[in-house]
Order: sequence, then structure tokens, then C-alpha cells
Amino acid sequence: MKISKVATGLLIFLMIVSTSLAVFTSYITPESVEAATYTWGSEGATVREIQTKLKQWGYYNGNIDGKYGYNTWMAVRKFQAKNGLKVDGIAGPETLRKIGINVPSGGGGSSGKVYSWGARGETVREIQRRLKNWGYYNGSVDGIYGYGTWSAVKKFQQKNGLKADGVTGAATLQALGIPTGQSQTSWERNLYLLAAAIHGEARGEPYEGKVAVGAVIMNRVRHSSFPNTIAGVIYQPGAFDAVADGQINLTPDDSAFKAARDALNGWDPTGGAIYYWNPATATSSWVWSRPIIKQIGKHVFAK
Amino acid sequence: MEEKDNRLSQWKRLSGGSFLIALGLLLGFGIYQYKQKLNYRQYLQNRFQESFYEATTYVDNMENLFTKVRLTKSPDQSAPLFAQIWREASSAQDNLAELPYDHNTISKALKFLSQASDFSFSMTNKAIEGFELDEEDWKKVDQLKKYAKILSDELNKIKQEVNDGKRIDWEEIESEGEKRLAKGNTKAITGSFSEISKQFEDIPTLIYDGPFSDHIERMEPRMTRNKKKISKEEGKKVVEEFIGKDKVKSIKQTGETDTKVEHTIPVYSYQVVLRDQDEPTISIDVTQHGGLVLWMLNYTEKESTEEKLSLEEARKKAEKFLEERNYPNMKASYYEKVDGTVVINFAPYENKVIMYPDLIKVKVAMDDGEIIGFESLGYIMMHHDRKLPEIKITEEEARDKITKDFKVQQVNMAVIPLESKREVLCYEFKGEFDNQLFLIYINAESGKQEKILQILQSKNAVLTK
Repeated sequence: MKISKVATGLLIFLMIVSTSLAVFTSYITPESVEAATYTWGSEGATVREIQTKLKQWGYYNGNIDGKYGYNTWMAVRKFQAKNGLKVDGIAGPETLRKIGINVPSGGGGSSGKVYSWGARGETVREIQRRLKNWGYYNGSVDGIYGYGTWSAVKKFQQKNGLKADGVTGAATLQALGIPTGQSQTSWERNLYLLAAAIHGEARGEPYEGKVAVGAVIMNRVRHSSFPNTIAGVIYQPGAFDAVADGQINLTPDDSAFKAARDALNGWDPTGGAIYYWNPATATSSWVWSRPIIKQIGKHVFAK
Repeated sequence: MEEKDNRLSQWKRLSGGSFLIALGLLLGFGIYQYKQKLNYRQYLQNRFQESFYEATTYVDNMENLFTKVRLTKSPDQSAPLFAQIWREASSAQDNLAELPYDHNTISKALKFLSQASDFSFSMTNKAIEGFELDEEDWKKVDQLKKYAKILSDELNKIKQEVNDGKRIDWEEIESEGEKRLAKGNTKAITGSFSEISKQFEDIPTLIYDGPFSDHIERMEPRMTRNKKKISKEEGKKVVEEFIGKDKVKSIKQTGETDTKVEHTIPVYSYQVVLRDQDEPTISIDVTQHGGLVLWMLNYTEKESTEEKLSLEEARKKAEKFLEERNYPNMKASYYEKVDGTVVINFAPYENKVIMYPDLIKVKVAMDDGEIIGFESLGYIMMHHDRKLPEIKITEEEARDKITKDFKVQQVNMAVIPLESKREVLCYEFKGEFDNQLFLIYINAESGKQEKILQILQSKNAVLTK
């Protein structure tokens, strides 16, 4: 009796550990890697498509449930081995192409961004504005993709012979006349990157603190001992925590965009700072040797 | 009883079996993840290694080219060499900045590379204009050459270690950098940069005509220099008058610059609660010397982004705002309209000359014409009574310096800042080429073409590029 109790307890414990581990690892997989790559824990229409094709060809005999589990993994491995691909069980761009599935990015190097429930920002605003002008949408232009926007997009898609799923992908954006990634000017690219960095680093800070983080990045670009581009500064190894832990890949909210715009336009609440840190969590001791200019929100800013 | 025992043992066997399966699964999963991690790690190591080798090569080339430049006699001999150094140094900087050293360790080396590149660019320009390098210039070349040699030697030492079979563990460098500094522990790591950073500690300041020259950092704000220091209470009054007495409910002083910090403008920071609000919605900084507003931001979330005002009306509102706050004769140049607000750039217009360095930016809400942002760093740093140089070139002569394909529409006189912040008096020609608008600046003293800006015109903005 006791042994079985211990065994079941252990079993349940192990299952919890392994599932949470699986969930966790799939969660921390960098988004950029996940974008066109499917592996353990992946879910959705593309996985379903992979399973369907592999079943047709006899590699796979599990259920077509859209979940990338052991069977799918094994099947992909078999398929890879037969087709001279690297055998790792991961359906990356190469494998997907061999299977005959279009990689979502369309191969054009565009980001292939998709807007749906919960999305926020300038593009959502633009979607709403256009749908409102054409009478599909009558909510407020608030930059938040909620039910109203979703059903308006759906109506628009039906009218225009698009797949009516309420999700704004590249095709719908094009039909709306909103330029997708490719025709961005360098200014817009920098704006997005700066907004993403601000969102990752200073979410929850007062607005002034967000502009301040953007200003520090701009000050570094102009400083001789840092890289001389916005991307160079943001992605310098070890420079920003939000880059190291991937939070920079979150979609920036409206307030981050606004702050980025103010910082790009020259507003600098920091008085020329090139460093900042949170005194409560700073791990590096040498930053304290920098002369502190002032504190805004939780961050101190220094030369 | 027996049945119960039987069921129990069955249950035991079952749970034991699934236990093994779960263990196996977990193990498989673990091994897979581990392998995956090794792959990513190797990839990253390779990328770092590549950047390291690239940086080493570029620095080698730099040192070599500085030596060659020393052997030239005339501008036409040295110009192409300086142009090469400019490129090599900039590439070296790019690659070095990608390595996972902590910034404290490599910042001096990065700065050296920025300056070497920037200095070489300014020497290229000087040589192209036919000027001989003077003694000061050659001294700087010798300095840069010396430090390029130090950097190149040290990098090659590391490379030698790698060739001898040691390998650079970038992960270790990333984690050890800070630890070592904290503990003062100098355990030798292959690829460590600490030796190099020690040698770069005493690198002399370098002043020349370029954006990364050391003089820019040291510039003093002209509008606050030698001005009386005000108290926090006086600052509060400045804020009240700037926002408007009738609009302010309360003002709270929230911070001040530590005056020990060099090369920054000391300010008092305030937050303002407006009459119809409960929370502060405006942040504003006032200079401690002279009591000038450095910047102001009103970050009220507006519900409507409706544009009731035309651009012209918004500009008038901004102009009036500036005039009432003692910034007379400001001329609007370019603007950008986003989300129901417009940011307009202003510069003083004195004796028919536009003073572009003394920049002030004003942000106007397009629904009610409220001024919701103000930024005057350029004005505070640069504004003063200028003694303009004598104009030696006529407008006709200046126009002759521009290609005939450019259709001039408008001419102004303007003082513009170069990237080194040096100011030059120019003719500003606005005109069209290939259906696009440009501004071309011709120096009114020397006739040199100083700058070409493209004007980006869209529904929402007139910007220069």
C-alpha cells in the first residue's frame, strides 16, 4: 500500500515536472527561432498540415490533432532520414519546404506579422481607421485588437474574398492598403526597434521613465565608445536585459511607441545619460562607479 | 483479502511500468534538450570567434595604414590612405562591439576605434580640399598609430594563444568579466581583454573636426553659463508661468541633478497637476542656472485623436506660445504629424539669417491646440549673439557651385551646425532634382558645399534627411 502510494505520488510528481518543463521550455524558446520552426510542443494548423502530409506518405500513423508530440517528431525524423535532411525531428524551413508546406514568411524576408486578438499598436490603429472609413467598424480607434476589430476584419475579409478568420495577416493588410514590413523607411524601422527596447526594459515605468530609456539608447548611438547605430547599441551583448531574456520580442504597446517617438525627436529627460539601472536589482557593482544624474521611476540614470 | 492483494500487486506493477516509461520519456526529453543547447552554444561560439578574427584583421590593417600615411608628403598621397583607415577602423569597431565583453572592459578600445575612424574621415576631407596636414595633425596620427599597434599586438597575442591550442571560451568571458572586477581576481582567461584595457587607460584626448571628437562632450551651454543659480522655489515659479497660472492646480518638485556630474546641464525636475486632473500629467525640467525650461512633456492620454486644427493654425499656436515665453522671431522649419499631434522645429531668424543650431521643438495637440511638448537643448547649448563672418561669395557664385540639374526655388542665408558642432554661414538653396526636394548648403566664405539634405514630404510630415 505504502509503496504504491509513493509510486503514484512520484509518478504524478514526475508528470507534473515533465509537463511543466515541456511547457516552460517551449515558452522560453526564442520567438525568432520558433517563427518558422515547429518542434515538440508546437501546435496549430501548420502542425496539422505536417501530420496530414506525413500520414499520406506513410511516415505517420497517429492522430491528426495539430499537436507536435513524440509521434510527429519520430515521423519527421523518418521523413528527414529518407530525404537527406539533417535528422533532428524539428520541422524547420528546409524540412517544411521538402514536405511541401509554404513557410509563413513567404520567403521574401518580410516579418510576416499577424495581428489578432490582443494585438496593440500603431498598425492596429491604422487597421481600425481604414475599416471605420469604409464602414466596417464603428468602435473607437484605440489601437487595441478586440472583438469589435475582429468582427470588422471578418466582415471585410468576407466581402473581399479573403479567408474570413478575423485575423489580419499579410494578405488582409495588403487588401487594406497598409504597407507591410518591406517598404518601411529606416526611420520607421528604428522607431519600432526603439519602441520594442523601451517596452522590454521599462514596461510599468512612468511615461517619463520610458522616454528616458529611449533617450539613453539615442545618447549611446552618438557616443564614441558605443556602436553607432540604434540596432548596434540595442543588440550589443550584455547591454540590455530585455535583449538577453528575449523580452524585446514582445509587441510594443502604444505608450512605448509614443515614448520612442519622443526620444527620437530629441526629448531627453536624463540630461545626457548613457547608463541606467534599477538599484534594487542591479547585479553589476561597477555601474555604481558612474556619476548618477538623477532618478526617474525605478531607474537611476548616469553618465 | 486475496483479491485485494492481487489488485494491489497489479496496481504496483502498473504504476511501476508507467513510472519507467515516464522516466524514459523525461530522460529522452532531457538528452534532446541538452543536444539542442550544445548546438546553439557552438553556433554562438563560432559567431563570436568570427567577429574576433575580423576585428583583429581590421586592427592589423589600421596599424599598417597609419605607418604608410606617415610616409606620404602631399594631400593627394595621403587622402586615399586615410579613406582606407576610416573604413578599416569602423569595421573593427563594429566587430569588437559584437563580442560579449562587458562594456567597462572594452569601452576605451571602442572609443579609440570610433575616433581613429572619425579622425581619418576628417583628414580625408582636409586632404581632398588640398590642405596639407599640419604639425598637430601629424602628432595625432602618431598617437593613433601607437595605440593601433598596442591593440594589434595584444589581439595577436590572444590569437597566438588560440593557435597554440587554447580556445577562447566566450561564455566564460561573458560571466567572468564582472566577477573578476568585483573580486579583483586576475585569473588568466584566454581571450581576456583586461591587459588591453589597462594599456588604454591613459589614452590622451583627441580634438579634431568630427562628431566623435572629445570637445563635443565638453561643450558648455551658452545660455546658462555664468548665470545666477535659482532656488527650487524660484524654479516652481518658472514652471507656473510656463504652463500658465490659470491651468495649474499644483506643482511638485521631484528631483534635481547632482551638480558633481560633469558635462551635464543641472536642472530641477517638477511634476504638474492641471486644474481638471487629479494626477500629475506634465513633467518639466528647469535649468538651475538662469531658470530656463529645458524640456516639458504633457503625457495625458487623449481620447480623441481628431484633427480639428489645420497645420497652419497649429504653427501659429506654437509661434504665439514661444513669443509669450520670450523666444521672439522663431521661424518654423520642418514638422512631423503623428496620432493627432504635430512636432514643429523652430530656429531663430535674425537679420534674415536662420540660426539652425539654436533648435527648439514644440509639440502641439491637433484637437485643441494645446502645447503638449517643448524641447530646447539646442537653443540652451548654442544660442548667443553671433559675430557672423564676412560674406566673400555672392549668391550667383554660390549658385554656380551647384549642378545645373538642380532647379533652385528659394534662397536663404543660414548658420548650420556641422557634425563636429562647428558652425558655418551658408547659402541655403531649396530646390528640386528628379522630382524630389533638396536643401543644398554652400559656404558663404569658402564656397565649399557643406551639406545636402533631402526633404521628405508626405501627407504627415516635412522632414529632412
